[in-house]
Amino acid sequence: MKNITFSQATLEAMQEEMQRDPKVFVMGEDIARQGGIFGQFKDLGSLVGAERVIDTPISETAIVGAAVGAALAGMRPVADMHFADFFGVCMDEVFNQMAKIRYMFGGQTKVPVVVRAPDGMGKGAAAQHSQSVEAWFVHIPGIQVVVPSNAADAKGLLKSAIRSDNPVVYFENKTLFPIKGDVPEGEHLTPIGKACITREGKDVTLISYSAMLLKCLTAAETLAKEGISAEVLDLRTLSPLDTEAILASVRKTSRVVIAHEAVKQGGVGAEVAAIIAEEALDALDAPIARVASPFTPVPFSPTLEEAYRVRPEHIVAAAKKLF
Amino acid sequence: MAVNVLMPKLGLTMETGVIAHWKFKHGDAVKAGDILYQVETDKLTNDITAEIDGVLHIKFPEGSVVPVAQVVGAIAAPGEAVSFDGAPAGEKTPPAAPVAANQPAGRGAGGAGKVRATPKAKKLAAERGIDLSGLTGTGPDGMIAVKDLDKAPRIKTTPLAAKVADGLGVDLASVSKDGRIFKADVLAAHESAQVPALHGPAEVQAKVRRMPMSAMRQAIARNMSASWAVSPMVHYDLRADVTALGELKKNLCLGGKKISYTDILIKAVSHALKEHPLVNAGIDGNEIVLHDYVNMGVAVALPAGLIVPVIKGVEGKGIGEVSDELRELAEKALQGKLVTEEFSGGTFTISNLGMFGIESFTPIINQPESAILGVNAIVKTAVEAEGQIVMRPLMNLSLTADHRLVDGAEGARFMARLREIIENPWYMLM
Repeated sequence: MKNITFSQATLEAMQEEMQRDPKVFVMGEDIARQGGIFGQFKDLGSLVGAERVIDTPISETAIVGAAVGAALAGMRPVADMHFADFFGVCMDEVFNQMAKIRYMFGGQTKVPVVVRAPDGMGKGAAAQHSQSVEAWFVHIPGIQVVVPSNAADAKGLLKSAIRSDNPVVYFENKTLFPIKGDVPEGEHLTPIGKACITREGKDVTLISYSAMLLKCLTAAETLAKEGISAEVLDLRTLSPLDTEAILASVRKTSRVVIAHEAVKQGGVGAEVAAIIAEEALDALDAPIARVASPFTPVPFSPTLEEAYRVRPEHIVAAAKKLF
Repeated sequence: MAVNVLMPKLGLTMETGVIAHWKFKHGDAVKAGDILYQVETDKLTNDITAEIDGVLHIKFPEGSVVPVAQVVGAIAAPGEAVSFDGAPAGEKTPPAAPVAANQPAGRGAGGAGKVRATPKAKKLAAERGIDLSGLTGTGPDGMIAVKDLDKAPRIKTTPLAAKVADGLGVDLASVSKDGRIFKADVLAAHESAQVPALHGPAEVQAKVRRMPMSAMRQAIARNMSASWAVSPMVHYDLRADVTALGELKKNLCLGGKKISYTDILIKAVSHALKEHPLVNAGIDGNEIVLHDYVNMGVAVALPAGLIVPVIKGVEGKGIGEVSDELRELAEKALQGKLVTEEFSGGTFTISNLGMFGIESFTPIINQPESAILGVNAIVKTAVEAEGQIVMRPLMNLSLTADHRLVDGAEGARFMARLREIIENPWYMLM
C-alpha cells in the first residue's frame, strides 16, 4: 500500500500493464514530450520505452481510428483524448467503429481499446473544456464506461480496462488528479461492472461516481451530524451498471439521492432512477432525488461557474427533503 | 434548555405505552432521579425517572396511549417556556387516528379523496391491513411515509376474515388480537357484541361501579378470548402417584436448596415434550411450527392479574438451575420488572393451582402454543395395591390441548408418558 495521487496511480497502472504485456501502447496529443496536459503520462516513455508512448497530430479521428486498427491487428492500444470534450471530433470512430466491429463481425475479432478522457469542470476552463459527457457512451451498446473516484480505483479500473477485450472509455475527472489515496502495490484489479459501498448507512443512499462521490462523502458527514445515516454508493462503472448493488442499497434505506456533475437532463442519474422505479418502487419511502448540474453550458465567468457548481450542501438539502 | 421526557421502549416488541400515573403535576418542581410517571405496557408497569432538576411540563395526561420514543413531557428551567409543537402523537384513550383509520377509504382527511403516500408506505399498509385515509402524512412533501404507519394499529387479516367482517359489519379494529385475524376471531367478536349491555333500573345502577381495565387486564381479556376463539380445546385428566416425586423432592432439598414440585414437574414435562413434539408446537398459517427446545412458561398470579414468565431451554438445564431461574423470574414478575423477552417465546405452559386445593381445572392455552398443563393439589387417596387398600399421594394433572394439532390419542399418550415419568422420576436421567 502506498499513498500516491490519482494521477500517479494511473501512471503506475500504465507502467505495470505495459511491462506485463508488450502489446500495450499509448498514443495521444502531448503525452510523450509534455507528459500529458495534467502530467498523468510524465516520464512514461523512459520507463517503458519511448516507441510505446506516441505523440500524435491534433486529430482525435486519427487517434481513435488508428487505435481501433491497431486493436484489430492484435495490439492493445490506450488512446488519450486530452479533454473528454474533444470526443465530438471522433464520434464516428467511437460509436460506429470501435463499439460495433466485434458485434458486426459475429465475434470473430475483438477491439481491446481503452480511451482515456479527462472530464469535468476545472477552474474557469469554460464551456468546451469542462463537460461531463459520460451519458453519451452509456447509451451506446458495445462500450464499457468506467469512472473512478479515487486513486486505488484509478489504478484498478485502468488495469482492468486495458485487460478487457472490449472497448472501454475511462473517464478521469481533472480535479481528482492531485488527490492522494492509498493504492495497493503491484497487481490490483478493480472489477468492471461492480459498484462499491464507500460508506455504510441506513436512512438514505447517496449514489454517485467520479469527483461527485467526494462531495457525497462530505454530505454524508454533515447528515450524520444531523442524525441521518447516509450510505454512499460509488458506481465505479456506468456501463454495465451494477443494478444489484443499487437495488440492494435502496431496499435497505428506502430513500435515494443520485448525484453527478453532468447536467441532469438525460444524465446517468435518470437511468439509475428509472431502474429503481422499475425494480424497487415499493421499497421507496420518498421520491427519488437527483442532484446534478443545471441544463446549460458550463459558464466561463468565475462567479457564474461557482453558482453552477454542485456543492455538498445541495446533496444535504436534497437528502433532508426525503424525510 | 428543556429536556424532553419520552415514552421509553421497554422491550423489542413494545410499540405504545400507557401513562398510568403522573407522580407530579404540571408545573411542579422535580429533581433528577424523581419518579416522574409510571408507564404501563401490556404486562408491565415501569417507573420513569427525571434526568435533570427543573420544572415539569406535561404534554399527555394520565391514561394517554403514546407511541414509544414520543415526547410525553419536558423538564425545563424555572420560567422557561416550553411548547410541544407538531400534532400530538398520542391521544386520550384509544387514539383517534386508528379509529378513523378503519373507516372506508375516502372518508378520512376531511373527505379529501386521494391519499398521498409513499410506495413503500402503501405496500406495508396493504400488508398490515391499514387504511391510509385516516392518517396524517409527515413524510416528504406531506406524504404518508412508513413512519406514519406506526400511528395506526396493525390489523392483519386473512382475506376470508376481512370478507366475513364486512358482511357482519364487524369493525376489525374492535377484534382484539395480537396476531393475524382469522374468520373465527371475527365471528367471536360478532358474538360478543351481541351480549346485552350491563344496564338495569336506576336503583340497581346506583350500586354498580365501573372502573377502567388496566393494560394488563385488557391484555389478559384479549389473549384469553382470542385463544378460546381460535383453538378447539380438548381436556384430559390423569392422576399420578407422586410418592417417588415426593421422595425426590425431599432428597433434593436435603442438598440445602429449596426445590418445589413445580421445579421438578417442569423438568418432567420437558422430558415428555421431547418425545411428543406436537404438544410442544404451534400453528402459523398453514404450517406447523415444531421446536427442538422447550421454553417453559409458568403462570404467576399477581395482585392485579397474571403473567407467564418463560424459562428458556429447559431441556438443557438441571432442576437446580430451573429452580433458581423460576424463583428469580417470579420475584421480578411480582415487582413488575419483567422485560418482554422474559415473558415471551414460550413453547408450553404450566399453571399450578395445587396450593389452593384445586383438584381439576381446564386451563386456557397460552397462544400460539398447542397445549397447557394444569397442576393440581396432592391428595392422599385410597388405592388398591397388590390386593390391599393403601393410602397414596395422588396429583391430578389437567391438560388442555389444541385439537388442530394434538389428536386425542396423542394427547393421551403424552399424559400417560408424563405420569410414567412422574411415578418413576429416574427416567429423567435417561
